[in-house]
Amino acid sequence: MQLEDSVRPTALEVDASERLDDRTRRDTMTINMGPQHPSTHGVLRLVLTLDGETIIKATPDIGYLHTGFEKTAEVKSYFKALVLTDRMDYLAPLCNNLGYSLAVEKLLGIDVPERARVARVILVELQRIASHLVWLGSSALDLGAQSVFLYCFRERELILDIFELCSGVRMMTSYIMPGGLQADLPDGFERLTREFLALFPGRIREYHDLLTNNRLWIDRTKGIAPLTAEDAISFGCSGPTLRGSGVAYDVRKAFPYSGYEQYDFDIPIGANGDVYDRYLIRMLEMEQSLRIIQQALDRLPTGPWQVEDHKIVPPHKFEVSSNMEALIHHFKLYTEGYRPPAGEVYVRTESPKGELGFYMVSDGSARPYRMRVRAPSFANLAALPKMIEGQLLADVVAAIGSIDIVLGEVDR
Amino acid sequence: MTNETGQEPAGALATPVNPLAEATAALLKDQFGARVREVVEYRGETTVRLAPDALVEACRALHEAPSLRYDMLEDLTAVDWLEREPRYDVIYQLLSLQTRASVRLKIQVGGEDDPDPEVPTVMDIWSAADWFEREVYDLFGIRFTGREGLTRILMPSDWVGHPLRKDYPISGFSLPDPHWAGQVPLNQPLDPGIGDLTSRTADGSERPNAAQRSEDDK
Repeated sequence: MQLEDSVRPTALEVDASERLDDRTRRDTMTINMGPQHPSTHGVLRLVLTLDGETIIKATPDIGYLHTGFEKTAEVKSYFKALVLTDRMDYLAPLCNNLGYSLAVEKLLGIDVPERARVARVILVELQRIASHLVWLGSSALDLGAQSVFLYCFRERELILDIFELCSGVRMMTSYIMPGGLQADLPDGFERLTREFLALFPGRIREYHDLLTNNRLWIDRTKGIAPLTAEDAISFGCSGPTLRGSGVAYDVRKAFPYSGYEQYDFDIPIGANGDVYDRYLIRMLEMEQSLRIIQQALDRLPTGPWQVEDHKIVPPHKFEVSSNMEALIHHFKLYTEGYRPPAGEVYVRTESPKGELGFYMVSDGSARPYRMRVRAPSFANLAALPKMIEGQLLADVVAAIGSIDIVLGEVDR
Repeated sequence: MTNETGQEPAGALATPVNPLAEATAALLKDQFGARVREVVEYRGETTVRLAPDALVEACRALHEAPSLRYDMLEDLTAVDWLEREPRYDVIYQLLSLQTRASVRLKIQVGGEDDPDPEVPTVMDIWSAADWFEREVYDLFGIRFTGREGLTRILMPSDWVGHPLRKDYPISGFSLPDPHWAGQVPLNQPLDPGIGDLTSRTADGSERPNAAQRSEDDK
């Protein structure tokens, strides 16, 4: 019958053995993870080649957030380029401010008053805790632990309140500037910080209760995405990513700046280089930061919080309207800026993510000839394929969370 | 520009104050002689300028020197001195985690007759060089030889030019309108994602806009 002929399924004529073969063949598949993916913490794209669930090859693709900060800085005065640094590692703006300020101060050959130095230490250690809280909350959220996220952001808000009190801004403070601080520490700073110091140790215990001995958390993190010490060093990793692999390198100890050599604190290091070790290190670092803040608050002196040189820091507002020289300084600083002598410096600081380096080249003009930012997340992210190749797809999320990248800093 | 070289005037071969930096400079001078062009001490940091052909050997020597062991490449970057000959500084910031020694190596490459200079890779000494070299290639157009996968890393793969060069304007080059299609070479098909939004087709001719097209369809 004609009808029967026309409805005969032609698919049957396809070589059946080949189709069967297709299904059982060990095949690889290439998939995109990101750039729009909640667990990539911004706009990271990973091109993953999979054999089943196992990752054979991982290629990070970055640059989606490239903003050209290094280029932009070349047309700003030193005074104005400061605000660019806030926006690189936007979870730790004060640490970037400090790195930049120290580099410019080194170019200028100046030193800041003791009050500024101690205040800077308090602020960047608070910032370190705030950054680690975002990391803890979001990386736990990636692995399905929702409540930790809410607790962490609750405590982070207390720190941001302190920053807002100081600078009027919660995040992009630009509060630490070359030559000292933008303004003196306000009334109430010490009280708020001490309140936080009293409150926070109990909160850290809460996080430990939620995660550290949690069977689910241990299963998802222990032995996952390991990185050997040799690889970590070779890739230029720093911060908790390097220390998780058992290498005791912390810039605050190795090359102390801002008076870190005067504080008594420890550097936690891991042994296995896995996600769990990197987790524990950041948890312990928050406790050490509290110790540093406590000591710094106890020694915080009164006195000037900026250098006296009004070629570098703006004169007080009330002087500008009454003093001719102050007016000239004000005008010159905001229009032209200052001119460090020609030369080059590399200043490294320990940001929450790792070693943040500023390589500044001055040609003797009022603008940085070159501002190079050695972003810790950039080097740490380069080691990601080494961590996850041979691991399971589901663990990529844990691995990315554990190196704590901020794409604003990776791409700059 | 007040000072062409970007250096504070210093003696050709200054003696570093830091004993480890001194040992580093001595080791390099001993091994490479005249190929160590300059040792500069500035603000307590030591910069050793090398002849470009000594770079890889020097890096390997510093990496393996038993008393120094520069095991970490902290940073690798470049500086463009547009009017200088040779034009680019390529900078290697080295660190030893064991001895806390730190030194900056520098080579000078490029120039008028060598607009896209080549530098040998140090990727087989430090893995970190992979991404750092790609970044320098992307933003400065300095090619690193002897390695694979030297592609753009921050800019899109079809980008034209190298943004951190000093002759690359801060505002970018003026691009054909609409600007988001401006980087697509004319002989290549347009990204389907751009689609109807562009008025330029792949062969460079004007594409009828959406209103006109629906008019034609009638």
